[in-house]
Amino acid sequence: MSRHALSRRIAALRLPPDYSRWWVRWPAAGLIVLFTAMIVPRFWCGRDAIRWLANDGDLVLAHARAVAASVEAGVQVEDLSAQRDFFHNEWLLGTYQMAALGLLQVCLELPERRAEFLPVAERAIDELLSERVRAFDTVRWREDPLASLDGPRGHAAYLGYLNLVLSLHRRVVPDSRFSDLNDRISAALARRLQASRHGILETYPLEGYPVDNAAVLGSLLLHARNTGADYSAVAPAALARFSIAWLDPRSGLLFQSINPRDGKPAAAARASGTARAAFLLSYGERAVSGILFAAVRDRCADSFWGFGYLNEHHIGSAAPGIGDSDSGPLVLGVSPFASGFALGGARVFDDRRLFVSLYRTAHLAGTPVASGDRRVFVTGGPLGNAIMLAMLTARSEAP
Amino acid sequence: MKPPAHKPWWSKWWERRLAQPAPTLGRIVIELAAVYALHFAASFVLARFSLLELILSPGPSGRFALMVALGFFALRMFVLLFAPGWFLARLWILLTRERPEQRW
Repeated sequence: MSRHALSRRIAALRLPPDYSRWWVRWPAAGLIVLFTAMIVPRFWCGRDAIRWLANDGDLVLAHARAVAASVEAGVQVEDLSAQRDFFHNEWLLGTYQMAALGLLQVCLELPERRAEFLPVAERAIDELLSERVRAFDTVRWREDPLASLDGPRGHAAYLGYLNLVLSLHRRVVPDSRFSDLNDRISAALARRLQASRHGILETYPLEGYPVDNAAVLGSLLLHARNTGADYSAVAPAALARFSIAWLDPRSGLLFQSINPRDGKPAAAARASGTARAAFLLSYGERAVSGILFAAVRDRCADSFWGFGYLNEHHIGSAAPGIGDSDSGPLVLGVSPFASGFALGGARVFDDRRLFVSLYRTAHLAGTPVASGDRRVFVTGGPLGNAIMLAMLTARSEAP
Repeated sequence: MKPPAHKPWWSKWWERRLAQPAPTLGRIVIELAAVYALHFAASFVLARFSLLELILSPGPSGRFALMVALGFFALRMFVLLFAPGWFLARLWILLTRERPEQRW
């Protein structure tokens, strides 16, 4: 049959005349759009979720290579598009910290790939220790966080996130070249926690955030697991604060901020802080982090046509506002950062249903693209891709 | 004499829409391919920019970039969520187009 004959045949295809009535034709077209939109995208966007849960080597390696390439190229302040210098510097810390966590997790999950990713993870740690990355903390405290380890001041964010990476590195390399620093930072944080009047280490002068303290506590518990160090003088009380004192009794979420002067909540309880704290704490223990994860899942998680998301405030609460740098911009109350970090929590606590639904949204908004042996989320940039690697390979080191 | 009844805008639009011939199969396929090609090309172009950070911390100088980012997201929403249904619905419209003798 010639090409023209075939196209004439196709052009002549018609259903019986009864289907051509406008009141059949147009409503049916609308239903086709509706049902296809309900079925096809959830299947298409969720294809890789199960592969991530199963630690599919191809997928993990392709994304890890992309993150490793950005670490090796060096993340510059100009690469980060934040409009405020302060965010530039915090995001440098976040980019290298998440990249190091993700790459170390890949080393633990796929030990045969250690030779490829461990040197890059160590490069990220070297960057974390550099003066330019810790500058944001030095400026706010007017003292270097590493040169003042014998002092009394908190430095909870910089030291907490750094120490978590150092403790995880020691999990991969027991005779880590960062062991001495890991021991000294852990000792300083434990001592400061014990001396703290209300049990909260300050991130910046007179600013206390439970999520940063979750990084501190997670790093200490992981350090104890690696070395046998004893934190019984501080850990139980600190865990109790996460499971009781710093929880909003109405929502079960963590208060976003605690006033270090009186130990009272200084900001409303929100999903972004709670989801991130659950993820950070899960490196060291599973009981309290499980409570936090259950709170965000039960009180803030929702989905639409199979696409999961987390509301920044618990379902049924008042107007959500427009969001901030912790939550990202809130559209109808949906929190991008809480949704991203809950992906890590869902993996750690083996909540497959939530993981798959959140992954569909990440696929939709993140636009994963494979190029050569690498795979990146197009909309992520260095920070977003580092966070995604850490979340999609998240694992608890606690039994 | 009775004045002609005033028809609302949507009624006129709908009549015009019904009067239009159904698109051909070739046009349906080409338009779908064009939308996907545009999305594919935009993905590779935007991979050079850190959209997440722009969205998390937009500033006055970043408004144009933010609008580009939102435009891309709108295109992606259409491509992933609605384009398959749009394609199938247009095929349905093609298959159920009226015969000339059937017009009323």
